[in-house]
Amino acid sequence: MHKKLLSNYPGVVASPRRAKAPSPPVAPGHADFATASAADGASLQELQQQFAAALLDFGQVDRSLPMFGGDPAMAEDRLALYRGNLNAIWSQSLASAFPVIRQLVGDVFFEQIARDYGHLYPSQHGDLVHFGAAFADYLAQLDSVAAYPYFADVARLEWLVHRSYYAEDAPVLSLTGLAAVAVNGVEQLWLLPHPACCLHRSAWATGAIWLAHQPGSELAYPELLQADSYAVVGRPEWQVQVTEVGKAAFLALRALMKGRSLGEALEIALQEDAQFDIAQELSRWFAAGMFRGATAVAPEQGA
Amino acid sequence: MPDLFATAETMRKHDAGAAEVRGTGIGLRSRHYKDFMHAPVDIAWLEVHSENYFGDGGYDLHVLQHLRSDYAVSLHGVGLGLGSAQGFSMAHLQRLQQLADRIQPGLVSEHLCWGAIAGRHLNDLLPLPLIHSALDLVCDRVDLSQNLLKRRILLENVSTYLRFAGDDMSETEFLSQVARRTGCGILLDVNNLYVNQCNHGEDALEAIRQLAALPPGTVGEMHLAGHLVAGDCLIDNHGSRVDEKVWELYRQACRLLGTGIPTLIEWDTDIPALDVLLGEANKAEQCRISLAEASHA
Repeated sequence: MHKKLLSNYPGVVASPRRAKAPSPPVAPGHADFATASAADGASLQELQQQFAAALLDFGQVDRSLPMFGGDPAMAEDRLALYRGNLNAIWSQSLASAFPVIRQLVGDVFFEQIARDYGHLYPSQHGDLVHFGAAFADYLAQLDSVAAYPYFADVARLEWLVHRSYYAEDAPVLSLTGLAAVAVNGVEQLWLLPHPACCLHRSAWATGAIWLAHQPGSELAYPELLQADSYAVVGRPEWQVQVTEVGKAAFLALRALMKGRSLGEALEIALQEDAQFDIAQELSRWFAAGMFRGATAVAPEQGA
Repeated sequence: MPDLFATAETMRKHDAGAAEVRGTGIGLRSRHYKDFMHAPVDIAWLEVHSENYFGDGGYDLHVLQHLRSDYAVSLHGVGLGLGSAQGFSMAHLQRLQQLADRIQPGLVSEHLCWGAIAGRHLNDLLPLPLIHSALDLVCDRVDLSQNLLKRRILLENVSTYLRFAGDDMSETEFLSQVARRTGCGILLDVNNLYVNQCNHGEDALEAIRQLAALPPGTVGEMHLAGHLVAGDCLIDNHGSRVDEKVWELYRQACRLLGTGIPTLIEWDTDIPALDVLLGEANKAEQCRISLAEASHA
């Protein structure tokens, strides 16, 4: 499955009238930017700042109404349409990047935290794919989800998946392809990481949680949540995959990513786990699309 | 020995390098990737939201690069915000340039709107104050964009729920001025004209008449989409078939502007099966054919 593309035409979510709604938090540093009078002669910049202020802060609505044409009560309703759009855009783009978190917290609460996140962490790009970069950090310090300390790491894993989806294309090296390069044995080989590949570790069972929440997954939700998790994010075909690995494999892969040779990496794995099954592990790494190539010359030291 | 079939194939693909956007197109949405990758679809061209293909790689770009050898492509931006007094991003424009270099689109278009303030993007197509200083700013930004992209861009009229009390001119007048001063083209969204007629009492037909007075070729594309009626306000949600009143305006636009303007069916919310879009596209095509025949009769 591919991602659903984001759209700038969200279904309109009717924004609550301010009389019934609590004031949402106002972005830091933006609370007092509405210095413009809405009367004639306001500059383009002032009009736009006042418009934005009225979307973000109910307290700024009255001040903004005179700058619009037509009946003020109607203008207030119309402004609420734009506010509804803004909330829908935040919620939809976060839902696109964090589908597992959304399932974990439920749609209603997800929309609430998306709204709060959107206020506190202003979108910095016209391309919504970047919105959500700080979402894991936001969850990590959010009191209302303090009882679920694994949420932040699940979100970190989802963000890696999200970024992997859009990463640069490159050929994926297969195990057969590796054999062709390894004329002098596999020990003296350096593996080049695939651009869409990265590693994830957590003190929570994030890999198992993620896998249990994929469409059509028959994997059960993990019984023990506080359990070290090591995972590989890769894109062997176009679909991003998360593959759980053991600690020994994780340490070896991390060494490979840092430019150590395959021989050194396998040594690290065997030190961690004397039973480390090299053939089985290599087969799993290559199926996960971790590498784009291999060289018999060390990438940095060899030059 | 050269493989003649492969050469013909290469030539065909090469020809498609500058494929012109003509006739009727539809918006390419991820829901329909499978249909397009599976079998040829009877449609002349495809339009995509540029920002959805800003990634370094991945499946969306793969699909677009694959399809662009069989269909002409139009890049339609939703995030540049040409009218933002602050928060305009050169990096965004450069990303668009990279995508255009990669895809070699037949058309590139943006919206007459704003979308950011200093420190915050609002990621929406917000209504521009139609004032002289905004006109100067938009003209500068269109110049900048056209110089960087080394091509003409089209600027689309947007649907709005609000107008500013201090507006100096109508949106059509604003767009006409930008076209006159920068040489850019206009993407006429007929549904947006209708939505604004209902929301603000603006005369949609009069707007089309004014556009018809511009040099031929200024209107380089038309959009058709559905809207939602919500009380006294029409919402431009692109979530249904084109309304009969919008079809009527489209026929008027074809009569006044010509029947040869490429036309797009847009659908972004509750996206239906591909056949439904193709049915709407066929309706637009038939509409133009019968009007063209009538004008030659």
